[in-house]
Amino acid sequence: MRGHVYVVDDDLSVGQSIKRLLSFYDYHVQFYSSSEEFFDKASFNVPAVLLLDMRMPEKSGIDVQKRLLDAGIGMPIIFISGESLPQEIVSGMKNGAVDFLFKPFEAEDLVNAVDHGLQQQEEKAKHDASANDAKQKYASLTNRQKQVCDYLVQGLDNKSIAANLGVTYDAIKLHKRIVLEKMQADSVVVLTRMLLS
Amino acid sequence: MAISVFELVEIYRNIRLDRAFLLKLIFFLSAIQFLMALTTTYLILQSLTGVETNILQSNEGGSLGFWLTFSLHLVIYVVVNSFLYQKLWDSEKKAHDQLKESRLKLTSVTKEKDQVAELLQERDALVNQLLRANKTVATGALSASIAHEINQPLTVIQMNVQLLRELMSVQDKQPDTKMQVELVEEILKNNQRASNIVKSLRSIFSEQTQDFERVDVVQIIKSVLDISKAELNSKNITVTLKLPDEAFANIYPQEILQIILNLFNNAIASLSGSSQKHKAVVVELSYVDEQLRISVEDNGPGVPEPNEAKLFELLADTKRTGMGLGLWLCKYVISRHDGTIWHERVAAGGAKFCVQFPIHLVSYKIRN
Repeated sequence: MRGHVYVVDDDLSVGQSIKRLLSFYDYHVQFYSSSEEFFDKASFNVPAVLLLDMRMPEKSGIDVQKRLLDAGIGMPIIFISGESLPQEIVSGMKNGAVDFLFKPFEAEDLVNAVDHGLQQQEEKAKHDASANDAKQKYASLTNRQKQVCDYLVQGLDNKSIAANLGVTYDAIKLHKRIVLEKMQADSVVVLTRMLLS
Repeated sequence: MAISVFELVEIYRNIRLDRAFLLKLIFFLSAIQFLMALTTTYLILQSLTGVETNILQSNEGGSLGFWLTFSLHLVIYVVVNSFLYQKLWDSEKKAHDQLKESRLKLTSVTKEKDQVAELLQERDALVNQLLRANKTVATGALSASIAHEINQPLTVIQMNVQLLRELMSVQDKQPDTKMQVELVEEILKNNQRASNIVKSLRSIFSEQTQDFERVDVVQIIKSVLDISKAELNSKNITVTLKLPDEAFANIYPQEILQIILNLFNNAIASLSGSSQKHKAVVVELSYVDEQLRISVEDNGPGVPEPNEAKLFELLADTKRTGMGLGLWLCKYVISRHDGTIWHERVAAGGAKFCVQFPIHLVSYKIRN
């Protein structure tokens, strides 16, 4: 299984064709014929790519994209559209759409776009995981260690930190060693990158 | 004597009416004659002795005067005659001139009539051109959604064909015949779908039918609906059709189709700017005493009151978009069908346009 794909299109024939094709290429596909059905039934916990029709009777693709963003669901969106207005395309891409496919499109383009979306999703998940990890490690520090850690990330040297906190230089050196150990960082550079992301 | 005086007075009165030279001459000669007659009488009376057997023999002067008067009388007679002849000639000439003139007038009237006919023809040709242009505009407004509508089946066909090709290239697996049949069916279905759209478009743009014919007006309404469907869908407008199974009438199908298309487009335009939640269009076709009535009703904002009176006027641009051509053309076209078009205010807001025309079109009228 190469990944989850949600298809939202008011045209039954189009939706089923996309589902059939992507199923053949070993994706797990769910088809919804309206945005309401999609919001009611789709699971937003699994990493998935959304293939979204731009022009639907009740809601435009842009509306669905906004609703997802408002709900904090960062699902990669690929718009599929027959006729789109330039402002729709601009708005869609600005809000982070992965791709824009114009009907009729090649099966290859569809598969590439889906893969691209899934890859983006995966990277984001990895990124989110590492950020989460760093947060947890930071939480395990004592208050004094957190202070030292913050100064290190701000780029201050040991002497300045010692002066700011009113402790000895050696004490700071010790704190620094423990912080790096606890955060599982090899150097201050790694620590900074970890916490800034 | 008295007669002579009377003569002079009459001639004088005539001169005042008609200042002809001959009349003046007659007056002059008559005056001389009168004077001479007076003189002659006087001369004769003076030399009268009472013994003459012939009064003319007694007086030479009187006798001469008498003869002169007489000859003058003859001259006057000739002049009077010539005057009368001239009068006759004049009146004849006048009559002749009048005849000629009236003949000339007649030819100019026929010429004018030809010109008017020519102008009417030209006007008709222009209106037909307008109709064609209007049709292009009306369908152009729908073109984006028509393209969308054609792209849908094309997308399905494209994907299914590519999947089919992929399936056939897989050698090692047992071919999934059920899947292949399904794909082919789907391709055929969508091919039909695309060709239906093209067909209804072509029926709208075809120019072949110049004569009126017996056609089903229900089918015309449906074909208009076919090409407007995508636009209606995208604007979230529901359409309710209240149509009989069929409604045949002798009409110019192209023209009636265009009226319906125009009314449809107006309803869509009016609704697309409205905040109405459940946008709806109701199309109804009914028989009203040997006539067909088509009504298109929307629940949009309706026609603003000040615009109502000039709705059907040429270039009365009461919409924010458009040229003010559509409804005028509708009115023109329906009058050629001996029918009428009117607007009704809907109680709940919105506009209703009705077209009514006879089922049996006897003659196609070109109205002035």
